[in-house]
Amino acid sequence: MAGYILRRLAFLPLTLLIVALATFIVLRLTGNPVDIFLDINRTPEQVTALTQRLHLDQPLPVQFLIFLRDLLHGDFGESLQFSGSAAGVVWDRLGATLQLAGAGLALALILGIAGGIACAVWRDRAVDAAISSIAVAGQSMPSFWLGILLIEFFALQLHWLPTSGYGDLRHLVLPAVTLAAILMPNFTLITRTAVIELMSEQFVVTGRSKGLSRARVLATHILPNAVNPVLSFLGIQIGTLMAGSIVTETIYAWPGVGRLLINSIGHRDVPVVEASVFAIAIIIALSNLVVDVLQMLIDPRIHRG
Amino acid sequence: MRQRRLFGKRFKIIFGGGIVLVAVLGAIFAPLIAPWDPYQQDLLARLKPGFWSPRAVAGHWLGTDNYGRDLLSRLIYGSRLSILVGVASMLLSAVVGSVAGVIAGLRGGATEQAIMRFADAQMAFPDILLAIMMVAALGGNALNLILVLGISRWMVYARVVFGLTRSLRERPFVEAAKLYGGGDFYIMRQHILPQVMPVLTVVATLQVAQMILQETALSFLGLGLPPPAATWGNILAEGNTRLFVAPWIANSAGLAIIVLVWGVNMLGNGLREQYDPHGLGR
Amino acid sequence: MKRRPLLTLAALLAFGSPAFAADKTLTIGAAVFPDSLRSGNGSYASLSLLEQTNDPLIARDNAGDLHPALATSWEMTDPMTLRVHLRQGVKFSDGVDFTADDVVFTINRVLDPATGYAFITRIGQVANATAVDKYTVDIKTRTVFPTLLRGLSDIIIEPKHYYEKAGATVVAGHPIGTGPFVFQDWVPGDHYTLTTNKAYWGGAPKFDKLVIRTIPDGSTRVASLVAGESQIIEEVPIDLIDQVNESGSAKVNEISTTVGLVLTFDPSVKPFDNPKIREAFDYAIDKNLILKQILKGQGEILQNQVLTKGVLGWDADLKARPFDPVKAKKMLVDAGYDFNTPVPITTQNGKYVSDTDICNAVAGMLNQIGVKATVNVVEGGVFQQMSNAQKMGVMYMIGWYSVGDADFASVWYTKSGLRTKWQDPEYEALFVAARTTIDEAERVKDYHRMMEILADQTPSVFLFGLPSLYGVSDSVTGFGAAADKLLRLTQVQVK
Repeated sequence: MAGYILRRLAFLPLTLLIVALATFIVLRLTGNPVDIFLDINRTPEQVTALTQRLHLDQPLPVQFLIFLRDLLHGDFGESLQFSGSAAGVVWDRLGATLQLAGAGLALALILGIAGGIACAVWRDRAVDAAISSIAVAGQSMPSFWLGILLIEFFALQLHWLPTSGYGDLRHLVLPAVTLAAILMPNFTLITRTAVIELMSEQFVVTGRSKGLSRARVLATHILPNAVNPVLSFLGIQIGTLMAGSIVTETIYAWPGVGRLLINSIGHRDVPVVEASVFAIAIIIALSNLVVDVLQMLIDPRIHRG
Repeated sequence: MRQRRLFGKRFKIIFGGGIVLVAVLGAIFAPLIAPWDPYQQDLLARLKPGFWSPRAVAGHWLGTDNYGRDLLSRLIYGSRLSILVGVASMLLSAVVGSVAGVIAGLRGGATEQAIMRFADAQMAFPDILLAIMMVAALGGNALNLILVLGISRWMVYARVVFGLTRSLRERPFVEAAKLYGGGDFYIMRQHILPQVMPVLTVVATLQVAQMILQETALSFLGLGLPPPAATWGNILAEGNTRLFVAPWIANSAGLAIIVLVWGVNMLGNGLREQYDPHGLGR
Repeated sequence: MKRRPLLTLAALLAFGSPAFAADKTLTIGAAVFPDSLRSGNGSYASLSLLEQTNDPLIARDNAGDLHPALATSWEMTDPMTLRVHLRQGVKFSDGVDFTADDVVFTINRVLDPATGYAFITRIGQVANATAVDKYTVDIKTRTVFPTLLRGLSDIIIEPKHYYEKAGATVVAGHPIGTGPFVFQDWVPGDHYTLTTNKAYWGGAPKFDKLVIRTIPDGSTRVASLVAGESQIIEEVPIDLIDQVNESGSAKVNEISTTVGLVLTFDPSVKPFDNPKIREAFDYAIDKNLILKQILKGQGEILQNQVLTKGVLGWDADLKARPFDPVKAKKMLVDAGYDFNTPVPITTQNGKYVSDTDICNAVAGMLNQIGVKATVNVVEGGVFQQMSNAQKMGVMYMIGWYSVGDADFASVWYTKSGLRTKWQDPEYEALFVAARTTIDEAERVKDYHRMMEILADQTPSVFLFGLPSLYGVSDSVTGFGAAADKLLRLTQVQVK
């Protein structure tokens, strides 16, 4: 197990290197940051200074090597628009994003799995039909539309929750629900299928015949096994979760990395864009690793190459 | 326990396929069905509700939008671009991804490592981010949008096809073809594609739904097709800013998206149960 | 029901207690939020925040008139020297006295190109500033510089001792000034918190805490006002005016700004080198209809000039061209216009009131006479880059601020303005003459002639003077909408 984790971690720099290269290339393709960042009143001195600061006077490969060298020191350079280092700016926003993504994910997992089990237990009855239909409809719903509808209903009509912003627990509810809605339908449908399949498996049938209660069998035999397909789905959807948080943060004016990123792309604040993309890539890669390890812990039969 | 399934695979295929068929026919025959020119503005009749309201303007069944354009006609025409972008970007990513997956699976070794590690890395790069950066750089027209959405999803196909190819690689007929000097593309066409096609169809169908949703997300972030183009994403994004004064705009576009995506998903899931019962192409 | 106190308690323990004190807080929903508190960022959104903590020498009011601030009086000792007498007994919020040294330091810092101060152009003709005594400063200009006073109203005075002790980066992270509020907390991309300066020379504000939150989305901003989360919001979307006014808890407060929204042609591209074709486009646009339907009657139609009504240099004799699509079409046909020419109109989204709406309506009207107009909405960074490269395409839409003086808006039609390819030698000469004349009547005459040249040549179609719309809660009194969109809050009271 430790060996596996180490091997996976050894691959992480390679992944990050490719992400870094891709970001670097795309940013250089999208126009000269100096032209975009400095406005019409710029002086030639400002242009020269910024060109040198971003090393744009060097040939491209050299620029990339300089970028990599600084990267090894965790240094993305100074932000162009904010005062302070780009890494620091991103670090300050990371908490808000992790809070939102964590809450959204937890909500999606709990409600999704619970809904899936309910569907499987009362399979092909009204409960199943209702939850499954909601899940399928939810899968098809553009999340920004859902977000605005939630604001309209819960904040404006009922006055239960604040419309947007960052603060106490109440501010977290609507963004977390909006984000959860992206993944929850899939969790429900996957859990439903897995539980239904497991219910006909030999060991479950045996458990039941030994006189164990239905709830007991669900808890001890079925659930641990049903979690695995959900986890493997989650593994490939962490990227979707992060992408969803970009949209969600924009709707609710949530001060996270996603909104920072959109804003920085607009201003071509190259150091901040690079640092944000990097942060998101690390989150995704590490989450994937955690998911894989969890899967192995739950089901020791899984061995990864 | 009752035996009747509420959503059988046949029901899913017929019902989902029916919705898709209606949408596609509507898109093809839009000029015949749409009651108005979808680009015809009438500022005096802007933001008027539809048939349910006494304030409705005759002839505009679903009401009008911000420029007094007929909403129903825009939705009908909008299905053209939305479906085109969804299907074309799906085809692009399917072709790129399948070729990469087959090559990685057949060649193995360093080629496999290069392709699959690259796919892994791109998985760690949120697709919407790539789209944002490319659209910001290249500008939003239909071709760029298709290109961007296409390359942001090739890994999905690559992983599926790679897995299947690797399991087929050891089969006698592939070994034999190799022995007789068949090239990668020959083997791919003759032996691999027919085998992976069912799973690929399933993945592709579900991806079309994703692509249609992705187009709306890009429109929301202001990176979709430029106005006055009628796409469902544009109509929804425009309507969203006026949800409080003219809710019918966003809501009817939103419902149209839900129904089509729901239909596509249903068709995809039905096909999966039919052709890929073990869920390889999830 | 019984469980509720426990839940509340748990929530409090977990998430910290909200402010229970009877502090009166004013919360403002901002549409555009600057990226940092660095002075000289060059946007009014940025200046709006900076002026909460720092004062200029001479301040504008909501209508754009100039008033003494840190300077109590001033006079020209010679045509190229402005002597400024400073307010005495004013302290920075860290307790240090405000003196002439701070003014000299600030102005020379602005003038140093290494600082990268974007508003340097506002006082571009200034040579240097020197202290005469502790409360008197001489500002010397290189030429006669009639817009100096107005230019100074965009420059906030910053503390010399603080810059020397802490450095520019620290200052930008925690500004100190003489203004009505004192920095408390700055969270980039989220909010800015300030406390009242009880010792403010202009009279302390009558509430305790000021929170300026960023809410970029228009409908969310209105929602926060209606829900009572904020008391003042900027930039109410035009279509939501009724929603605010009918909410029963807030009203919309409107003022005309000096922003003139214009559609500029690229005359270096055929057939737009022909002024008749540019003029024909103007006739094809029904500005009354757009003003009435899309702007809901807020704002004004520009009278065939870039300046808004009442600005120094505004020409009352010029009138907007009437809407006449038949004439427009005939002019185009007569000029041999090729109706298959694609005419993309480049615009940003959300930068100005109803910008994309106006642009789309204009394109629709041009389509009516057969012109193949489309709208090209580009993201801010791309717009900036196209603009710097002077590759805006055949037409683009932009708003020009004049902040009360024709100089600031007319510069964009000169060669050095770098914003149009249209050029005219007479216009250039008049611009320089007006900029280097103190006599106001003489300047106004020059500007009138310049406006006539623009009207005659039509380098741009002049569309609208834009309104500035604030949503103000009924629980707030003493707030006024500002033509320059700077928040002025010293008179505000919170119920």
